[in-house]
Amino acid sequence: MTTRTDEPAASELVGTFGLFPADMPRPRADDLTAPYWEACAGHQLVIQQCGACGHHRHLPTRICPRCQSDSFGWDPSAGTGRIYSHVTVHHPAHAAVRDVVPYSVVVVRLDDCDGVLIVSNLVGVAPDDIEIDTPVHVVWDDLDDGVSLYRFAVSEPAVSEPAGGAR
Amino acid sequence: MTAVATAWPMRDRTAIAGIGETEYTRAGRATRTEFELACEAIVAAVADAGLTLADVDGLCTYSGDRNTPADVAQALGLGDLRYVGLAPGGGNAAAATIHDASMAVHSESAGVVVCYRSLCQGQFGRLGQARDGRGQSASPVGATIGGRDQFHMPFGLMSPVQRYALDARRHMHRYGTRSEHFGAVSVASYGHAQRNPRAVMYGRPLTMEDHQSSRMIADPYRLYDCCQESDGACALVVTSAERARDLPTPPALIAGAAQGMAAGDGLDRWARPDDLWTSAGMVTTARDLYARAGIGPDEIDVAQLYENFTGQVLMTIEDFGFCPRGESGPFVEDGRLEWPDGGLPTNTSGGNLAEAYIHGLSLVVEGVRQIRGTSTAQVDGAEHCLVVAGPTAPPSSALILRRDR
Repeated sequence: MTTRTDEPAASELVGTFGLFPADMPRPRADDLTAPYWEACAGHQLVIQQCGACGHHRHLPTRICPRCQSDSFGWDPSAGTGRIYSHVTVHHPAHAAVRDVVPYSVVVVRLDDCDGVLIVSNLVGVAPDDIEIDTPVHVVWDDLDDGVSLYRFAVSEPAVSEPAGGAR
Repeated sequence: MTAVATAWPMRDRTAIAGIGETEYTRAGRATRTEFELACEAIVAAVADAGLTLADVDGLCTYSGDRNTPADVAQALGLGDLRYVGLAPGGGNAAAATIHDASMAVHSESAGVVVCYRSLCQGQFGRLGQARDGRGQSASPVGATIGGRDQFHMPFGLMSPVQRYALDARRHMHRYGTRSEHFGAVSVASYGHAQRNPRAVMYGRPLTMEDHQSSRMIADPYRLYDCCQESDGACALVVTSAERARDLPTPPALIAGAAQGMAAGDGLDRWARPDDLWTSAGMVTTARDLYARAGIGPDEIDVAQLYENFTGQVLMTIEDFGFCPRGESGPFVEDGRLEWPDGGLPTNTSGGNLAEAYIHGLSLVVEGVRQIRGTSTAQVDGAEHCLVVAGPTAPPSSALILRRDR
């Protein structure tokens, strides 16, 4: 791996949205999760899907909790959903976020993929303005070295869109 | 409540006969090692029971391998050990370890089992900081993070209070619960601590205004919604009810013990169904517990309810049937959790918030004091004390302690 001469300082905010600094922990993929993060690098959110019964699951695991099959694939999501819960962090639990608190974390229920819940961030909305059930869609945060993470942004509501998938 | 056809085989057959505690301090202030404190608490509990170390033939603890039964037994020079228990998890196991010991005694696998927990966050790292892994083998987080947290930490979800706050937010959204309801739990624990000279927060009372103006940690959780970080240890002696009756202090009978994890629950919080986000995850455990003790929530005189965080105490109150689902906020208004006039005095020595955070085992100790009549906030004639271990921390556990008639 070549050494970059323009690497950001550890504390400098990085990425498309400048949400977190360069020393924010990055995902360390393993053989199970590598396809998930590789899809992210290509700006595609994929959700693990059982090869036997078709049930989607997140977080990725090796065994389907519905039918116990170890056969699975990765199903592309349209990347739309609704805010299910949120927390605004004021007290930093890690040195990397000392200068970015307060920041918010959201849990999104996807419209597809059996309505799995996924942890991320909401861009472009002040912490106090985040509301449960707001429709959102994936936006891609390109960090560096090919790492891309999914974040979410508020969607304009469609005229006749039903509420998010029941579970 | 439907009557049980046959009584639970262990109902009232085992008892807690001795309790021991070290000094409790803020994290970092203990003057001895966590291991030494474990030994000190065990020695104290055995003496309190009117027994000797030679009588001990079983050891039970939980949450990892820093102070294993084998190490403790050798350090204390115990005789033959015939039963060893090490329950998984953290505060979720505070009642399970008693259940474990009582099963050993009832099955005659051992005669005198000591349950203990020593936790010095000042010596081994703080549970509230971002960590790679869980439990006592966790390490500081490096540049990358694997395991489940690869899906959390890059997005800023980094510590327990943040995860539990997400559940509290759902409870607020679904049922209209407010921060003041969380504060009622804090005010009760701190108020009781003012009567307990051994409580870390003794001399530091807390009003609702103090709670509401305290700094936000992970919205909606404020500073005073969170359990302390302490150094300390405690221990309890479990033996048969018959043997306990021959010992100096009144036995705290174990009327019921239960543990478990709800279907669909687990450490992957995103795989849980909706209802488990707004529950302590203990509905089945509560049902089992009451059936085994042969009573219902109306017979509970006093409760020790594990405060990892205050909102989770509200969910515990619902799971254990003290009020309908979703109504724990109104339930805790008007001082209902506060001794002496509240209908459900809760955390009567200060709890995890204000006495000390020993992973919940100090709540069992206070339960025993209530049964003996020796609490600093004693409920008159307390016959039944409910003790619930870590809510929303599967697999969790609970006990009902009963005064011997």
